[in-house]
Amino acid sequence: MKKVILMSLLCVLALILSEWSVYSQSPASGLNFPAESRTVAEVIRLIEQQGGYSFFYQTNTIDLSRKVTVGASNDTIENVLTKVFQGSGDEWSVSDKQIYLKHSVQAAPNPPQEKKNNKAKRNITGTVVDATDGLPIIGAGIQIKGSKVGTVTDLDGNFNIDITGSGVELIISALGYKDLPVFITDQGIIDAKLEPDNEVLSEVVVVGAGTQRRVSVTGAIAAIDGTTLVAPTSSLTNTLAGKLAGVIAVTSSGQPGSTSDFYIRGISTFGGRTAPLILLDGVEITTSDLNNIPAESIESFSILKDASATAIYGARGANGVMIVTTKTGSENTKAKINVTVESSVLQPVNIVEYADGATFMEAYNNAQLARNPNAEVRYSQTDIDNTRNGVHPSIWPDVDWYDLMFKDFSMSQRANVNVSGGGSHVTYYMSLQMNHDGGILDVPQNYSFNNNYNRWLYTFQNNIGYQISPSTKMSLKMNAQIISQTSPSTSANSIFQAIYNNTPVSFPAIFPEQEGYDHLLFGSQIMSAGRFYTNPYANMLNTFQETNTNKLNISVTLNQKLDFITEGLSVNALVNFNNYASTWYTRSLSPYLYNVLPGSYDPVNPTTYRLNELQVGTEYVSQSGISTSTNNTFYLDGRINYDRSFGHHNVTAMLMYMMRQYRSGVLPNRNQGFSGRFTYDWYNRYLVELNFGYNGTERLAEGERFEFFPAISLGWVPSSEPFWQPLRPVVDYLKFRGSYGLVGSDETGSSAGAAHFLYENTVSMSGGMTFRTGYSGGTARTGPSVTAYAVEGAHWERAKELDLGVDMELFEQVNITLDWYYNQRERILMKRASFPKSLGYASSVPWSNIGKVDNTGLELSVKWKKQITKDLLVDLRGNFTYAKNKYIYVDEPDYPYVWQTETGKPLSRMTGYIAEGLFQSEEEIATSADQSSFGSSIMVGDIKYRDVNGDGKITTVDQVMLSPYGSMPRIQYGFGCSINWKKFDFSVYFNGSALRNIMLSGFEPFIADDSNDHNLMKWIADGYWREGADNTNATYPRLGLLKSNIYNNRQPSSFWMRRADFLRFKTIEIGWSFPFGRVYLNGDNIAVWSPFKYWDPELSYYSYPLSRTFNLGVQFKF
Amino acid sequence: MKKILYTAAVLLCVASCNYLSVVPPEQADLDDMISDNATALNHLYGCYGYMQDEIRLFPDFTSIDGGGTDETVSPQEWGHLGSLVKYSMLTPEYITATGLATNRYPWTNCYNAIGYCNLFLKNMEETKAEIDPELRQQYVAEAQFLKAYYHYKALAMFGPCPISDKLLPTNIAKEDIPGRSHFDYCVDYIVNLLDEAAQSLPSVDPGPDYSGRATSVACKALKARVLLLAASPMWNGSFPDKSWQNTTFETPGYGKELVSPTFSQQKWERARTAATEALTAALNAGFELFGTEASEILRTNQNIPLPSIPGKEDTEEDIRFRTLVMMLRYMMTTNPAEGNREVIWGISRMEGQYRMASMPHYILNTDVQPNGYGAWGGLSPTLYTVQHFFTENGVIPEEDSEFPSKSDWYTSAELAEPDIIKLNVGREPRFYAWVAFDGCEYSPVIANRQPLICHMRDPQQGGYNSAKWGTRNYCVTGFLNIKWVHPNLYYTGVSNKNNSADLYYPVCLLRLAELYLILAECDAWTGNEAEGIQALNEIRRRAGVPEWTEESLSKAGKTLLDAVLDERFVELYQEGHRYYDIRRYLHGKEQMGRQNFWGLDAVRTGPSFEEFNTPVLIPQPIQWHERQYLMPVPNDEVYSNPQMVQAPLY
Repeated sequence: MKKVILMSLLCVLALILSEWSVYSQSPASGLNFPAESRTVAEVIRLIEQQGGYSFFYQTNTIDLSRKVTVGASNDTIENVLTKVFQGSGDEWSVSDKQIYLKHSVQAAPNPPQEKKNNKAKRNITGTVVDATDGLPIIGAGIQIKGSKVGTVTDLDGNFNIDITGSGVELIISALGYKDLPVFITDQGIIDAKLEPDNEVLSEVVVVGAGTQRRVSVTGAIAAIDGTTLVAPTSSLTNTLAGKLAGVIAVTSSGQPGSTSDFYIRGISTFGGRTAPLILLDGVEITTSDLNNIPAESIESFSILKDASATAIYGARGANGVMIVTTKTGSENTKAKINVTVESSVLQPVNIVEYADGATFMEAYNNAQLARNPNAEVRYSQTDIDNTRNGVHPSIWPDVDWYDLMFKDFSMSQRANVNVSGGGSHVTYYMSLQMNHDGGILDVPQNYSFNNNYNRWLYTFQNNIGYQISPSTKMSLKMNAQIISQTSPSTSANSIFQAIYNNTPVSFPAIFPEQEGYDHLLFGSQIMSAGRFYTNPYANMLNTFQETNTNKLNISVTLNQKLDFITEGLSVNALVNFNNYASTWYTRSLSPYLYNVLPGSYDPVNPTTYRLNELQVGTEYVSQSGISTSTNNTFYLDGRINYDRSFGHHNVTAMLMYMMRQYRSGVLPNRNQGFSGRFTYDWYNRYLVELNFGYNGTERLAEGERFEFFPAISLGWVPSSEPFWQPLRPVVDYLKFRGSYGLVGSDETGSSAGAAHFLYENTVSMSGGMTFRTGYSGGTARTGPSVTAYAVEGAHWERAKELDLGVDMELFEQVNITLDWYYNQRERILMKRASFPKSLGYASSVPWSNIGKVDNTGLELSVKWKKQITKDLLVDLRGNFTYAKNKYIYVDEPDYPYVWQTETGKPLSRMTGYIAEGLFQSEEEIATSADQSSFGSSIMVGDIKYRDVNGDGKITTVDQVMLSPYGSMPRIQYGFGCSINWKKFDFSVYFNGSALRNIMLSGFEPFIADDSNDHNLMKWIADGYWREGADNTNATYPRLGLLKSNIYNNRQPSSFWMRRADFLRFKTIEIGWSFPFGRVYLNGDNIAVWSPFKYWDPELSYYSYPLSRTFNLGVQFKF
Repeated sequence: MKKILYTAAVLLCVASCNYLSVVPPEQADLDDMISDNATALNHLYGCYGYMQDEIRLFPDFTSIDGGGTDETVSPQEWGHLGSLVKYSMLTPEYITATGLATNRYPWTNCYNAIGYCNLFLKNMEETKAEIDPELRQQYVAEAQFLKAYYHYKALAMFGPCPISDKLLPTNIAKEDIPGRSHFDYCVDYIVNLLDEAAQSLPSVDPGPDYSGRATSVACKALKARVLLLAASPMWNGSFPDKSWQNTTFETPGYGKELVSPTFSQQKWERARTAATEALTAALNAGFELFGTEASEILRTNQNIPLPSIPGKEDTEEDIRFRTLVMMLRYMMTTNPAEGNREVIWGISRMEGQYRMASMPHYILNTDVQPNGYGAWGGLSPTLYTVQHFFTENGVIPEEDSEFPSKSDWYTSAELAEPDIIKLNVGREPRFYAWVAFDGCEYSPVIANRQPLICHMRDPQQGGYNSAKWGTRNYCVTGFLNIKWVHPNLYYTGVSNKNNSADLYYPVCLLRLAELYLILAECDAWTGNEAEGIQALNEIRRRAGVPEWTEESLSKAGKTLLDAVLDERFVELYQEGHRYYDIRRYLHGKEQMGRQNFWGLDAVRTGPSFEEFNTPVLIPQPIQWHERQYLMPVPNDEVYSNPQMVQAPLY
């Protein structure tokens, strides 16, 4: 009996699908019990005890309480069972010691009979009804197993089908129901009752402000499980790229805790917010909050892409919505405990390389002579030779800054514990995660402070639900993030950039310790009076910052079912507080800078050189006070839900009131509004959904604050239609969807610096110029200024969104979703760029809601999952996103040539001159278009540009769009596979971006104009144009030291444009499961393939590099 | 129940109806910009601020009109607008591509300043606040003066320019944006503003705190300068591009014409009248040329020895000479309270940058930089400048028969300081006051109250040495500038400190000497030779060079005009006039070509005397292009204003 209780749903499914045998030999000795009235259950127990049999059945299908009067005296099991189940409508079969019971579909008693080899053709008729309500099912498929013969039910649920002989099996199926196999012996009429397939029908998708059954969804929604995002990184957003169709994610730093930017359906605006709205359990969070959530805690991850899905967020939905739902416990389950411990090694990869000192010096001299052949070269041959030979590192330094400043690898650790379960009234899910990430700064031992990146992140997720009464449920969800981090107080970029802003030969990073000095002797040189070159090493070491951040996000939800008023009605309310506080302080030391006193070095006695103190540093650490940054959000919503089916008419409705306040300064940002949804479907086949949002923002004037954002979507599931039956073996599910609607964005102009209150003039009483009068300037007064004039007829940014999509399943294995969309963003707030400066508006040039952007794209996701053998499960998945935008209207000057305008062009693109190679000869310069407008004298080896408008001069108007693809990729894709074999699992994932370009700019090896020297990147050192050499593949034009000399070459042009498509071998994982857990080894960012080789194609040369990570982890499950 | 819910929803809405009225606490609006006399004055100071803030609408060595001349060069590394304009780099392309157009380009700054003045005038007119009527009148007049000055800046630099008399509406139609007005119309507009403003302004500063603000004398002086510009050949019939005109915009009374193609003597008469009026008004108001009387008091009080001048000893005559040199240094750095009554309009500013650019990169050894500390030493007078200050005889060396012959100029004068070459001996006081050369004394007190001798070849001191002084601060020509460096400035040798904080002085934008020179120039053009010579001699007498007579002029084969222009070069050296003087007389090609820029071969480490004293072409991409008579407007001005035309040849 125990085993009976253990039966699971899976078992039943396996049973249904497995070969059904009604014949078996009696394997056992006879059964003996007296004939008396017993329940079927009692009989089963007797048989189990006496014969050692096990019974398998689905509990609710067999009437166990039925009384029978059956006795046995050394009877065979078959005989006993025949007696017990005769006339009950239950079928049985014996296989070895296992007995399968099944309630017959036929109303009439129909004991199993021997198979007859009857080849006669005959016609069977029948009716298919819903087992729960007895209503006919239209379009249910009836198919003869093993053949292609089949039919579908008509409007009354009736069907007829020709079969040959008996012993055939019919499979009756309908969307949303479990498949039902029916054995045909000699029946002529079949009345099939289909049980609703809870797995399919009850599968829900998280949508805006609620959930929806997957079958009835008509909006463009992509969803993945949290587990899909598990990767050996503490930044969840770094794993998003290529995981979901419709998401474009861009990583720009490998710094511990850094977030990737991501966009749903690309970027559709240039004025306001471009990032999607991210909701954690219904309340808004920031990208960095999301970044810190452990993938383990995430139940599901939904991306709402089109208007029908986002209109409900009217005010803020225009950039798409990402909904993250955390896990909850299940009722009446015992506590499940998961423990994961991981340790990773991170090795920075794809770093830009710089040339060595001697190469630098030679190139510098070349650059000097390239523009002024009579110049005195800066480095003598002796200097160069001594540097190359490493004669004396203090006198002729040759510093590999990168090697000196950074470690080859860093470490990080992660531990996660989560407990979930529930009793009859309470469910709970608790998770605690600890991340520790180290950095790659190579800080010397015993230095005043260790400012290497060191980040501790603790994330708590606590979800508790309490069933107050059968109709009332209250739940509390709490997400807390505590981050403690030490780092330099300068940005990571500036630390890496400092290497670029220095040379390997100007000074040693640090002089060897000398007697009489108790501090580090940093090297430097005089730049000009009282100014010295920044020592990158000192720059890295001399600041320290400790940041402590807390984030607390608490929501309380109350659900009340109102079935007593009318069935399917419920209300719920949610209150949320989201508080962020960060405090930090900094410490700093001013470095002691030294150079070698000129003339004090004696080659004969190389230790005798004297140091010259350039800058007196500080002995003691200076420490700042505590700085604080806080913000808080309050959110409240109340909803009325209605969800009911009337026969095959399914109706849901939802009406919501919401209010929200975000405050980071004195004046809060607020939203308020109503939104609602109505869905209707018939048979899950024809679907209609209406959504609206009616929202207001405080940024607009009274009376104009609210706007209505409606959306409609329609769906049709032809695979449920009767006529689809012949195609069903191939396409077993097909849905067409379409939606159109409006969504808004009240953050218009925010990224361009528009005022908070668009309807007001903003005047700064001290924003104007200051003037000092008096002989010594002793009287100073500052004028007021107009910061911004009120926007005439200010409005929201608004998007019109059209989406057409198809979902299908092929061969019951392959799932395909395809979406095409067309969005038009309008009323983008922008400064009137067409105002000439001569109007004198200075910085208060008026704003207007005039920008317009089109965005269109295609998304495809494909999944193939197959259990190939009992031990082998293969899962392949891939997705593809293509997004293309363009300016439809952008206020811009009336350019004389169409190629100068932005209108009609993509937001991210490459603009510049068309380079026609490097000038080969003086004659070529003389006969080519005049390039003097750049001011530098053109020499052989400088870049030659095409005179697009043919006026004989190269001017700004000759700049064209070189490529419609900019740094924001048009295409992002990802694919991967996972294989489970016995206790082993293996998975790999790749992601990539395509149709992407970058423009190399600002790489002057030796610019002497600004405050620091520049370093020579290896790719320039290897490939710069050289006088008299073969320069066919020169990667850098003729050198020069000064901007005014090489200004011609610094122009954006096709010479500097590089294709930056890439394919990243993102993750690999190998795992082995054991009874209470699993061990695994995984890797992240294993390799990158790209035509761009100088550094990681996604990052800047001065970014904290991405790391190749290897991670060993173990999971325990209790 | 539904009813209850409905009611609840309605209640909730009503109760929170004002939820979105996040009414900002009492916030300043346009009408709050002027609420009383004090705020009105703040607003007015905001109008002046464009002169003094980082956006400087007056010439200095970094600016187009201050640095873009043949007077000085600076290291190419500095890359100031003043250098770029000499390289002919300031094209619309460059201005747009580098983002100059949006912040540091004078076109933008001028019109932002004018726009701000218009806003001030509008606010003054519309304000309901009670403003003292007299003050109101004066403030309005001051704003008009500034509007005139800013328009003059635009006119002088960009040629015929749009007149922005009122703040235009924010929803202005493209066709209504004004284009360039005819040059003469602009001149009349500016002159009218100045005439009107002069009526309501005091003639001199009513008190020291007023210093820097407009006076009626300043209005008249500026008017004389504007009319001088208008009468000059470029704008008086000789504009190079005769075909240049508006395409759509029409100036009332002039049609599409932008520059008058014919010469008008009347323009010179008008300028002369204005110059006379301005001079009279200035003298009546008590302005006078600065002299040794005042400077000697200062020098004695500040305990500064007389400067040492090559070839000058302690004879009475030589002492007078050395006193003059000192006076001329004080002339530029002294305020009225210290006895300087020459400056008609001067504004106070931090002149640190000018000073640092000028002084040598070695001044003294200090405790924190025992190996030598100094300034940037890069603002380098060209050989042309050195050759065009006068000799003691009041003419340029080339024309002075008593001066060593040209071939000997670069040989040692064999004085006690052997590095001094003959070219630098026997020159006029202004030369020694403002130009430093190898072997000269830069200042008697600068090195902790000790004199600093410029060793321009010594790599450990003033000489080129990229290893010691860096690659970007070096003297390009072997000469350094002294003008604008306060004679009493000195470094203490402790923690690199100096006394510059005690040495504020107003930088003059208009001074009496300029009025004499304007008058003399107008006299030369209008046949008033005698009066012109008289005016010119006021300057020469003060400078300590022999006065001109009609006889001496004709003997030297010079016209009065030649003499005036020579004198302007010297007297107004580094004061922002040279840029316009070259253009007014269309001398760009002669003066500003690559071949005109020479210096000594100073950019070498430790050169020998001979190597150093070899004139070489300055190794910078200097070039003259005819388009440089006018600066271009940013491209977007043309594209966004259908009425705007670009300057010729861009």
